[in-house]
Amino acid sequence: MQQNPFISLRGIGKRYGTVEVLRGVDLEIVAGSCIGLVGENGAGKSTLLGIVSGKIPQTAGTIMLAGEERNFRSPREARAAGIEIIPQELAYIPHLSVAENLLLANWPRRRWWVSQRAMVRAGTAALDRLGLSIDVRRKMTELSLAERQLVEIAKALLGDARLLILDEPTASLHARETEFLMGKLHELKASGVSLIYVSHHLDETFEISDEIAVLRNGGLEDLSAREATTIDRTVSLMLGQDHAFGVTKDRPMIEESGRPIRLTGWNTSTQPVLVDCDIELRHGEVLGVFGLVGSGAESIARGLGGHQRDITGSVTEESNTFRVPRSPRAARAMGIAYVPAERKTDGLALNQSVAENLTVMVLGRYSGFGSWLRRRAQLSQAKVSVQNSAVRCQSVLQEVGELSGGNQQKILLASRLLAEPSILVLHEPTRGVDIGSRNQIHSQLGEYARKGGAVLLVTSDVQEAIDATDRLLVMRDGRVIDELAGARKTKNLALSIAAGSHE
Amino acid sequence: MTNAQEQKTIGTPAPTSAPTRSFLARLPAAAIVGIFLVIVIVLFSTSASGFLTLNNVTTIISAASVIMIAALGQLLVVISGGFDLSVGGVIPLAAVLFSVLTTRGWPTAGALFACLLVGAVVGLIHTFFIVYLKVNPLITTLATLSVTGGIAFIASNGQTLSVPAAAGILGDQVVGTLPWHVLLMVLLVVLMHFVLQHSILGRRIYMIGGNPEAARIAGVRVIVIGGSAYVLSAVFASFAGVVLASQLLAASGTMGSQITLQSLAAVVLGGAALTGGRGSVPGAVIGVLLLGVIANGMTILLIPSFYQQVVSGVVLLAAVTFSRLQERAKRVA
Repeated sequence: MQQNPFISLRGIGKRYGTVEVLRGVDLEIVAGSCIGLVGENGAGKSTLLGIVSGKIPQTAGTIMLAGEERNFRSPREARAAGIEIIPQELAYIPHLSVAENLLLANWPRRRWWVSQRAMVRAGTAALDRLGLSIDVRRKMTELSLAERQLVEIAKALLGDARLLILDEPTASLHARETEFLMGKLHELKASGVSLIYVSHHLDETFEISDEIAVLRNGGLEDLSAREATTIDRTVSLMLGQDHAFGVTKDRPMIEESGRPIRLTGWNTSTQPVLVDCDIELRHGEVLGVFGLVGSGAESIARGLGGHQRDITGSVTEESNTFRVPRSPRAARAMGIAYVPAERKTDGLALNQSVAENLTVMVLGRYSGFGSWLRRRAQLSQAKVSVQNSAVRCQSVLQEVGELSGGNQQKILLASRLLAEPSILVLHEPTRGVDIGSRNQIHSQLGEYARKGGAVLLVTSDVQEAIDATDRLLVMRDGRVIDELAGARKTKNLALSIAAGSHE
Repeated sequence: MTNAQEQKTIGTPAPTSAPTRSFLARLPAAAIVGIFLVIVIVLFSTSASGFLTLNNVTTIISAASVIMIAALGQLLVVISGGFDLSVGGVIPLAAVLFSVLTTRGWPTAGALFACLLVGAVVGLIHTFFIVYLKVNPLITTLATLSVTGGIAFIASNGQTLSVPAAAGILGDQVVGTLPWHVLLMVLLVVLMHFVLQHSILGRRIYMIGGNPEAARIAGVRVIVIGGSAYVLSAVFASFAGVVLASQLLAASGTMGSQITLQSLAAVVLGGAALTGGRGSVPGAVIGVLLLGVIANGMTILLIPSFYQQVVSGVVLLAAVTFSRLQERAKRVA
C-alpha cells in the first residue's frame, strides 16, 4: 500500500553568496524505509543532511513533516520533530559511563543528586530496545568502535526518533561489526524508523536502502528503487558522463627499468588493518594507492612515514632490507620524506614563519661556525622554494597560519622536497585545497618523479588518484585488490573496486 | 587565464587584509609593553623625586638582574611550549648549596660549578618526566618546586646561612657602581638573544613550541631540543641563586621563592605565549624592567610593598588581555 511520507523535501536549495551548493532537491521518505544518499565529495551531501537535521537553514524550498510545513531553525527543533543525526565523528564523552552518555540530555535526578540506579535502569532499557547486551556502567572508552556507534544510535532512539540519519557509520568498523550494525538497522526499519544512509561503501548502501538517491554538483541526479538500478550505474551517475570514460591525461611512458622499492608482507591488526600487503614502487613514477576510508591505504602512508609503529613488514631497495620505520627519524634515515594528511596538526607549525617551516627538514645545512645558523642562506633558500612552488605570501617571514590552505599545503610539500628524498610519500596532499593549488601540487609530484624520485601518493579522492598518478593500486579491507594502469585506469573502475562491487 | 596572472608570489603584498588592520593590531606584543614601560618611566620621573638618578637606575638594574637571569631560562621553556615553576625552588637550593660549599672552603668557581651541576640534574629530571613521559609540566614542576625548596630548607636547617665575603665577588663592583653580576646578566641576555634567533638550537626550540608533532614528523629530535630548554632553565635558575647568595652574602630556604611567578610574568609581558612558539629576549627584558620599575617607583613613593604586588598582578592581566584582544582583531581582519 502507498503510505504517506514521513518527511518530504520540496525544492530544497542552498546558496552561499553567489555560490549555489544545492538546488531543487525533492525527496520523500516513507516511514520504515531507507534512502541511500550517495555522491562524490562536494556533491552537496553534507549540506543536505545539515538542512534536514536543522543545522543549516535552507535558502530555497520547504520541508514537509506529516503533511505540515516545518522549517527547522536549530538542531534542537529537528530533534523535537523526531529527526536525529549520527555524525561521522561521534560526539560522546569518553570518560563517562554508557548510561551517562545515553541519558546525557536528561540525567535522572533526585533533588540535587543524580540517581545512578535510575540511570542504569533507563540506560539498560534504552539498549534493550536495540537488543544490545552492553553493561551500561562501563565507560565509553572500554567499548569497541562498533559498540560506541550502536550506543549513539540507542541514544538517538531514546528521543523517540522517527528519522535517523547515518553519516558514514561504518568508516571505522570491521567487516563483522558492519554486518552486526546492518542487522540492527534492518530491525529498526522493521519497527517503523526511517533512515537516511550515507556511505561511500556502495555495497552497504545497496544492502540497506530501498531507494538510492544520487547527488551531483548540488543537484539530485537520480532517484530510483534499489531493484531498478545497479552499483555500476550509480557510480556513472555520481561521476557524471563527462568523467565516466575519462582516462588519464597524457603522460610520458615511464621506463619499466626504474629501480624498484619493494614493500613486503605489511601487516597490522589495528584499525584500519593491513593483510599481507605487497607493493612495488619504482623510481621515476608516481604510484597511487587509492582506497576508501578504512581500506588500509592510510596505514601504508603512515607506516612509510614512521608515523605508525605497530606495522610489521619490510622495505627493500636493491640489496638493502629495512623494517617498517618505527619513527619519523628512522624513515628519514631511509631516505623517505612524508607529507602527513593533517597539515595543521601534523604538518606545519602555524605560528612560525614560512621560512622556518620550509627549512625544518634541512636546517642543519645552514649550520655555520659553532652551529650558528647562516640565516641569510636559510632565507634565500626559502625565497627560492616559495618561487618554485608558486606560494603566495607577503614575505617568507610571514606566519604560515595567515596563508590559505592551498598555500599551506604547497609549503608543506616544498619543505619535504627540499630534503631531496629518494622516496616521497604523500597522504591526502590536496584535501581542502583549491583547484589551482591542487594542479600545481600534482604537477610538482610528476616533475619530482621524472627527476628520478619514487613518489607514493595515498588518497581517498578518486579524481586525484586518476589525475596525478602513473599507476594506481586499489585497496579494500586491508588488501591490495587490483592494479590499474593505462586504459583500465578510470574513475569508474577504481571506485567500484574500492566500493566492493567488483571482484 | 587571469588566474595565472594574479598568482602573486613574494615581494608583491597581497591586497587583502593589510589596510583593514588597525595600527595597534600590527604592533608586536612586546612593543606595546615597551610603550607602556616608557609611559610608566615618564610618570615616575615627574612624580617621584630621585627616580631618574644614576644611583637609582643602578639600583633598579641591580635588583632586576637575578630575575632577568631566571627569566632567560623560563623564556626558553615557555617558547618550547611548557613552563618551569621549579625556578623558585632551585634558586634557594643553589644559594644554600653555594653557602655550604664556600663555608667549607671550596673555591668560588668550584662551588658555582657544583651548583650549576645540581641545576642540570633538576633539568634532566624535568626532561625525563615532561618531555619523554609527557607528564603535564604544571604538575611536574610544581612537584620539583616543592622538592628542591624542601631540600634547601633541610640543608640550611631552616636557618639563614652566611656566605664568606670572599665568595661575594659576583656582588662586588666592577665599573663605577655596576656590579659583576649585572655585567654577567647583560652578557647572558645578549648571548641568549643570539642563541634563540641565530642558532640551530634556538630555531628548533621555536619549531617544537609551534607544533611538536609536526616537528617530530619532520624528523626533529623533539626530546633533545625540549630537554635542553628545561636543562638550561634549571641551570639559569641555579646561577640566579648563586648570584643572589653572593649579592646578599647570605642564603636561606625562603629566598627567591617569588621569582617563579615574577619570571613567568616578565616573559609573558614580553610577548611569550604559554601555548609555545612565541617570545623573545628583548621582550623578556622589557617585561623584567617593567616589573622592576613599577616596584622601585612605588617604593620611592613610599607605597607599601603589598600594593606593589597588587599593581604587578593588574599590569600582567592587562597586558595578557590586550594581546588576546589583539589576536582576535587579527583573526577578524
